Amino acid sequence: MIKLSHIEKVYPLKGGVFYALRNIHLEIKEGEFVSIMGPSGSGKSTLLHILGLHDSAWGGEYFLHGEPVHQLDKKKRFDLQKKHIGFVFQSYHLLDDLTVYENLEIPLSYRDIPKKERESVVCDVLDKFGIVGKKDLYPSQLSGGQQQLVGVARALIAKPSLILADEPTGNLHSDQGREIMQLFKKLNGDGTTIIQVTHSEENATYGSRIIRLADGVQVG
Amino acid sequence: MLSDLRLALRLLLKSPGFTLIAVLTLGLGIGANTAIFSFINTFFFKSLPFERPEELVSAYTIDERNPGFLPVSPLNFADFQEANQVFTAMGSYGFAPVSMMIGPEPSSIQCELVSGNFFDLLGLPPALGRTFRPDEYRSSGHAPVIVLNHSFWTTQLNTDPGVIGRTYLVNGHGYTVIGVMPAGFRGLNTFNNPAFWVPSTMHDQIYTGLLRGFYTERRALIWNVFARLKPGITLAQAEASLKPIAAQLAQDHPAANAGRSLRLISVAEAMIGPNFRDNVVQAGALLLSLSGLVLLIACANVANLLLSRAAARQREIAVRLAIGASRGRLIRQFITESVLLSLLGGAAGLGIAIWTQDILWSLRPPFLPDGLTVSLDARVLGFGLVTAVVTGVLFGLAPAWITTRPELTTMLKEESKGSTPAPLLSFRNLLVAGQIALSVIALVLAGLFIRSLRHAQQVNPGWNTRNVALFGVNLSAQGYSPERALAYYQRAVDLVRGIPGVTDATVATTVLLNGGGALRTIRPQGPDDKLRTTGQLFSYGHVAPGYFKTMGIPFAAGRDFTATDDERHPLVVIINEHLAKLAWPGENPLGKTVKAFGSEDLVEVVGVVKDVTFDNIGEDPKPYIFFSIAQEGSRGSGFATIHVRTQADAVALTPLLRKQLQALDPSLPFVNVTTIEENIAQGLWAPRTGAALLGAFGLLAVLLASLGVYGVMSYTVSRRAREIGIRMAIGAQAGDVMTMILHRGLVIAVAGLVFGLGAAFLVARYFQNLLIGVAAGDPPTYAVITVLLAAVALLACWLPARRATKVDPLIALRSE
Ligand SMILES: Nc1ncnc2c1ncn2[C@@H]1O[C@H](COP(=O)(O)OP(=O)(O)O)[C@@H](O)[C@H]1O
Ligand SMILES: [Mg+2]
Repeated sequence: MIKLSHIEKVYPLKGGVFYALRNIHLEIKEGEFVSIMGPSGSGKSTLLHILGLHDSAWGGEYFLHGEPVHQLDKKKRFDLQKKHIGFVFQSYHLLDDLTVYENLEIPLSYRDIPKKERESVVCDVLDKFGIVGKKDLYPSQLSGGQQQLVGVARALIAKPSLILADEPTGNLHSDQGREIMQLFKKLNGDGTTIIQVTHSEENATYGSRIIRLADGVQVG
Repeated sequence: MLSDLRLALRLLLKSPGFTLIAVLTLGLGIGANTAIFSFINTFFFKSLPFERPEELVSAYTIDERNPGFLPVSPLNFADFQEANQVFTAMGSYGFAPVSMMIGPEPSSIQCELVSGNFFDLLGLPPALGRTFRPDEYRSSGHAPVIVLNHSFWTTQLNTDPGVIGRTYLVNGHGYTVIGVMPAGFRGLNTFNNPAFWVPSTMHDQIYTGLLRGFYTERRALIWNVFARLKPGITLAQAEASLKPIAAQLAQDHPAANAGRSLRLISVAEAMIGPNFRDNVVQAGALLLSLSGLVLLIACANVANLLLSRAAARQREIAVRLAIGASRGRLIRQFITESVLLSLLGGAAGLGIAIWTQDILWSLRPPFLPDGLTVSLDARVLGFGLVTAVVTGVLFGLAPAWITTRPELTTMLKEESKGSTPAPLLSFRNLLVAGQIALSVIALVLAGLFIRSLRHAQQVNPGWNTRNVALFGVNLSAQGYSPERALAYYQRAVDLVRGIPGVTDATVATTVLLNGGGALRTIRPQGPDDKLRTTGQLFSYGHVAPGYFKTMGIPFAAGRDFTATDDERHPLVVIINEHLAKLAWPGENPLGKTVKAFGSEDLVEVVGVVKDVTFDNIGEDPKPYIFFSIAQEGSRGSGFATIHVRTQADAVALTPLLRKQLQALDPSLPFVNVTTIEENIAQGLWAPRTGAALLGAFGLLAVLLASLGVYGVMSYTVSRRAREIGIRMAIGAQAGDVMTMILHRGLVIAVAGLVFGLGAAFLVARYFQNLLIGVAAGDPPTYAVITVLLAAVALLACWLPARRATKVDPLIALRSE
């Protein structure tokens, strides 16, 4: 599903360049649940943003579902992202002025899905995540765990084949974190590929594989 | 307070870009207002340089049949002077055209014939020499002395230091200069600028033609009268005590004074002419309201800038509140800052006002002579200062109030999310919508006046105004008898007709489309009793045979004057259709008769011309009456104008025409050598100036408002950067983001637009009577301005929206 070779990411700095990632080789199969670990500043987020097609200024080769991302123009990359990838963020990044229901609906509206269909998809997901009762609340009215639940639901709503999560439990209590991990496990069981960045060895045990980074270099 | 000031100064210096923009914006707003006010100040508020000016009143004849404030006849003046108990003294002034030898050639100039006590009554000493002495004006004809206007002395006599005692020929008689008035004094009417003042005892030499006869004619209203109230007498008391005298005069001289009375106005108010005053006040109000709009928009802009800046300081303010600062204390700090800002803006505005003064002055009406000084006196400075302070408090208060709301202490507890868009009904959005509404009003007014001007320029007056050269002469001032004058006209017309390039020529005492000429009481002998006995003032002229053909004024019925319509034949007139309908409704006016002012002779109507535009573009049809110049030679020998129609450009042929005409009488000065088209252009001064000023204000308003929209939308975008980043991360495309931002901006713009259009209509209706041929609700104006403003708003929203689409989700999300 994902094949990276010779991936490099440099930030130009005063007096030279800074390698955030160097010579990354990586292959991830459909249905894997991978955890990326490493000390702060080791390049985990950077890698995740490259995988998620947010970042386009990097070197090397990246194949996603057989598509050579490094050769695609901006528009094609964006289409690829829309079709295949869902994101979960450490600080949820829900839209504060939208209700839970609207937060879930908005990715679908960006994908030009007709209103009727959006309704049924959102209701399905609300049901599946057990948050039907919260659908008219605003993010500020939810606990952190609940917000992240919505965050995961939003990532899933457009039925991506790959979920990228950058420290999804970083802002949560361990109980709440566990709940999210179990959710991931279940999604992974249903066939969604998951790549998460985490600091917690416990969280990593939910996954099938760990990739370790240090100073932008793959160390395991 | 001092520490507030220091902090404010430091903050302003810290963000020079913000300070510069705010000061410039305010400068434009305050400058526009100060500039306009400096003119209004000159016309309305300048303190008069007279002794106890509050005691001075102007007296006007009020006539039941004729509207407005009319002058007074010299005979009535004498009687009022004799009979009144309320004035220490009365004085008079009346304009008189004279011929004066300044160089080798005679010049035609305007002077004022004034009562001998004119200067003493005002309490105004001369700058040089002396004014009239009582012994000089007690008896008639023995005081050939003049007092010069300062501007005449400096411009026409090269500030001749030995002018006192010098003698000049005026209408052929020697007059000695005894004094020069101080600079700036131009008499009692702001719009007059006489060359000199001469005692009224000299009327026999100074008045020529018509005016000479009018001096002893009780109906002839040729003098402006003023008086000094006795101590303790109010204007109302004085006016009441004059009523019985007026009634007595009406009884004693019913033919002249029936239906006439006297009305008093303070001299300060009368200075701009009581008949014009309403128009001048309205024009002043229009300009001040427009510049006020610009200032309001500028205020809204700065308020918005301050709000954005305050938003960035919210954390700091929350901390201050938390450690015990009172809200009042914080608001004071904010206000100090905004007032400081607006004072800087006021200084910039004063600079702009001084700089634009010459431009404004060049737009002055043609009847406003040079030499009227528009100065930045203490009152103007005070106006600028007050405007600045009020402005500062106005735009500073709202941001101060909003950003110091105590709820903000919650900001300390919670992490600022900063991703919510402000609610649509936020103060900031209301400000922007308000700005748009204000600029719509400014633009609509500008648009209406521009349309009005274009309409006026294109209006067809109903006769051929192209290529008519005009040469004014005043033959009786030159000593011509009526017979010689008629002979001169005949020779002049014959002469120019023979010049190649001239298609026709004629003579008339009036010039059409020149703002309106003389009025004469006419008593049409028709069914209306009042018209028949008392008569009414009608516009009139004396014209030569062929005049209507030369001008291209079409006949509706009857005939033109002929060479035999002279003193040896029955008196005849030609009237226009409007007068015909007024005097003889439903009847054939041909063969009907009228009586002219001062005579019981019946004059027969022999022709009727169509209702064309006679005096002013945009005028309503009005009655007009024409006499044969050969039948009233004494009138025709005063001011008359030789009209020459040329094949091509009249201006190009003018020098040649002038040379040939001058040869007929080398000592005869020509006055008002011009063309009809030039007169029309001059007559359109008000619409043109209005359109220019309003257009400038309109553009300024739109510029400021679009800056406001742009600023708010930019702020919105930067405030929502994180939110936009999230949206893009979950699949929003550039188009989605663009639509979202544009939609928000356009909702605000449309709200402002709709409100502005409604308000503009109401405002425009108030100024309807200043518009020519354009309705206050003129659809094309509103349509164009709607489109224009929508386009500007779209652009002002589009730029920030485009920046929103460039938000890098990577950076926006990296706040983790
Ligand atoms: N925009 C940037 N400019 C320069 N350096 C950056 C930028 N973004 C990240 N970095 C650096 O790149 C390295 C990797 O960052 P990141 O991928 O965020 O680390 P982490 O493993 O903690 O997620 C860090 O040293 C960070 O300081
Ligand atoms: Mg990270």
